[in-house]
Amino acid sequence: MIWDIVKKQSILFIRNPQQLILLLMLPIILICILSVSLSGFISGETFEIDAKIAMIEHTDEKEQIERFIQEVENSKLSEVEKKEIGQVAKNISIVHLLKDEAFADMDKLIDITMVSPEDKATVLADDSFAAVIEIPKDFTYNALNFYLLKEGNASEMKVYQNESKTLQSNIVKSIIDSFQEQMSMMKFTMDHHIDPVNLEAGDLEHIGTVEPIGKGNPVSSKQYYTIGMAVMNVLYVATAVGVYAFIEKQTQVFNRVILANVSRWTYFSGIFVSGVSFALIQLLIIFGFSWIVYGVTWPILQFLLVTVCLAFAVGALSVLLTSISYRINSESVINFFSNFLVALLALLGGSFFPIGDIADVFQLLGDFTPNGASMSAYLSLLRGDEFSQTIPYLIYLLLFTFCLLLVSIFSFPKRGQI
Amino acid sequence: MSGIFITKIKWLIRNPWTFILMTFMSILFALITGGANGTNKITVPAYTELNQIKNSSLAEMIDEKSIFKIDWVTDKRALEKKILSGKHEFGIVFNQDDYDILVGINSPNVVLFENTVKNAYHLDKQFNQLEQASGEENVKEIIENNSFFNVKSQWFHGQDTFLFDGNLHTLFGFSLFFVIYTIAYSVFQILLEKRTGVWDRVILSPVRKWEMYVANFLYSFLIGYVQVVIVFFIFRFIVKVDFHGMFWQTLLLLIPYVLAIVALSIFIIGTVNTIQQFNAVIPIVSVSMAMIGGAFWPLDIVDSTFMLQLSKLIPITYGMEVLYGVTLYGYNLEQILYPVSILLLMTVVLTGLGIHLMERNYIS
Repeated sequence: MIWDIVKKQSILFIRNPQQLILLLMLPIILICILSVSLSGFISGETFEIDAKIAMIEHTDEKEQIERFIQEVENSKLSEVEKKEIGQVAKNISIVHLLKDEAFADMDKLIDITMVSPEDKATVLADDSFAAVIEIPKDFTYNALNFYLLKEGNASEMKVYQNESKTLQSNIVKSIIDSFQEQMSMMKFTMDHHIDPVNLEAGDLEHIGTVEPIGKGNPVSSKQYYTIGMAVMNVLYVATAVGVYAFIEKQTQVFNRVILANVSRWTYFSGIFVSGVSFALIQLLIIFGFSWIVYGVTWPILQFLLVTVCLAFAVGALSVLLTSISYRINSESVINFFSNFLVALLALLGGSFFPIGDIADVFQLLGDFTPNGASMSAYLSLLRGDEFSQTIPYLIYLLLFTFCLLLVSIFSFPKRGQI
Repeated sequence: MSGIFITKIKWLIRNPWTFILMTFMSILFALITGGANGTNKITVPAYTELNQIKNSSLAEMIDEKSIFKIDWVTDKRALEKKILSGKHEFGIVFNQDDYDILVGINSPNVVLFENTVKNAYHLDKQFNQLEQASGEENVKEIIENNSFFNVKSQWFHGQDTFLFDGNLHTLFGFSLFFVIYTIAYSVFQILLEKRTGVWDRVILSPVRKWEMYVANFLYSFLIGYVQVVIVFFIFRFIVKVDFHGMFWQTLLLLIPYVLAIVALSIFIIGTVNTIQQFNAVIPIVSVSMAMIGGAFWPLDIVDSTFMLQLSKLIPITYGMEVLYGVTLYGYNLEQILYPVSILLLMTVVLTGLGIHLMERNYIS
């Protein structure tokens, strides 16, 4: 008898292509959008930033340094000092250091174009540049005066950042900032007459390690989003099942089923079973899609186990939604669930981004959502952890199912209440 | 016309829950994803057995210089659990002279974090050596106040000096996203009225057709606009988000976006025939639009040209551009005018198409 109810529900689904589109197309569209738009960014291993920057130099640096040395030569300083200052000044061509050393470190991803001052407006209007660095007139000359002779003020360079390329331009800015910091440290050693050797930090390239946690591989962002979207959208199955069940109450189908001497608990179980099976089918299709298109593969047996547990939780949710909507005789609870709660659960469960990155409270809450718990289980499978790691999540999912079923049985209208 | 409008308002007063919940949700989402803690930083769980590292300037430097925030946990197992559950992308263990970054989810953040940590170690060592050599205590501050040269930064188009504000992004993004639902479900009443026959009865009454459309349009616009205004007010005066002195201009410039969304909803109503279709289309349209248009993440991390071209067709893109332009980048009127006029163009075209389609499809 339960089978007949499930069959009826399935036919309803198949005859309603719009609902099917929502349930199957939405997650697939979202997975596609996420991986196409973030593909370069979330590929995982590399962090590729191709930035094009322009540099405007108002006066030639070499000329400024020569002028400075010339002026020192003509000053009243002692010969030893003159010689020393001249030596140092030759090595401090700030603009040159910035251009050829600070930026060159970045694996040649930053492309520098020199621009004449007249073209400043043109480059600022050109959106292909991530940043424009403007070195004002006599920048190096003034800097040398300030640094070596303690005359005048620190000179100032200007960085224009492109607001439509904030990521790239912020990286450019941070390179300039750290360059400035290093140069300032050098100034500190000079001011305090310390040996510049103290600036050498030695080889820190291999000071630490980056390693995957557990035994397997870290999960890539693409896999992360596939799981995130799948566990979020499976919740819509619960609303769909609930909506159909409520329509059946409105159109007296439920009463006719009861009149046909079918127990209300048979109907109830039918709803549960159809919720579970539709969730299962949907999850398999979505993960199948991601397997074919994006090559996301799983240890099959464990995968099925997690999927079944999640499907149970979704089945229980459908029953709960059905029985509450029967009880209050309104589908508002289902609408509320699909419009608000799904999004909230998805956010807390980490479908959009790892929620613990923000605050611990949310992480705790996230573990108590069915989608969050199953997401953790899926991630652990992909990482290749021992299966025992996922067991607490599975137990939680089953417990969740059990509690929800209890509440639904309690609130499902008894005889004469409809 | 005013009759229809008043009916709608009365209906709203009797059924205010959708509206209240949507408003609440956009506030909640914006709070959770960034507004609340005042920073937009990624928390990195960290563990060390050595107290001197906890108190050293190392962690401080990481906090200060990057988008990461070190969060100390008391034991190593707790750290591992946080990463294994997938709720944190990675964590770090500091040892005597080195560190281990434990990765659960591979993302560019890992590379970014590694560079940050390396940098911090480098600077820390330099500062320590300088302190020893010079005998000074606050070398870091001395250097900061005595820099070799200064760097001043500015935006390309804006007049303001450089500002970056992650809070505003989540606030704008989620407000623009959730208002789509509110507006769509208010326009959706037209569909309900058509099904229940109310629409036909109004047609039979002396009310003109244009009055019916104008009243519905006005109502949907108003409800959407009131919602974003409430959200923005709460963030401005209760959460105290900094709008950089452009709060009232922001409110004004939301109008074209809300208009465009009303028009879009009318267009969608024109294309669907049943409530189920509408319910299926709205989440697909709104969520994909929000993703493509940059409501969830800034568009400049998107490097697919196709997606960027696609974003040019989405109202949210321009809505975000206007709001960003006026608050962060200090755009002048001329620069604002371009996205605003595109939004208005969208409004006109979509309303026209939508009404045309609605008139052609008879729904009983």
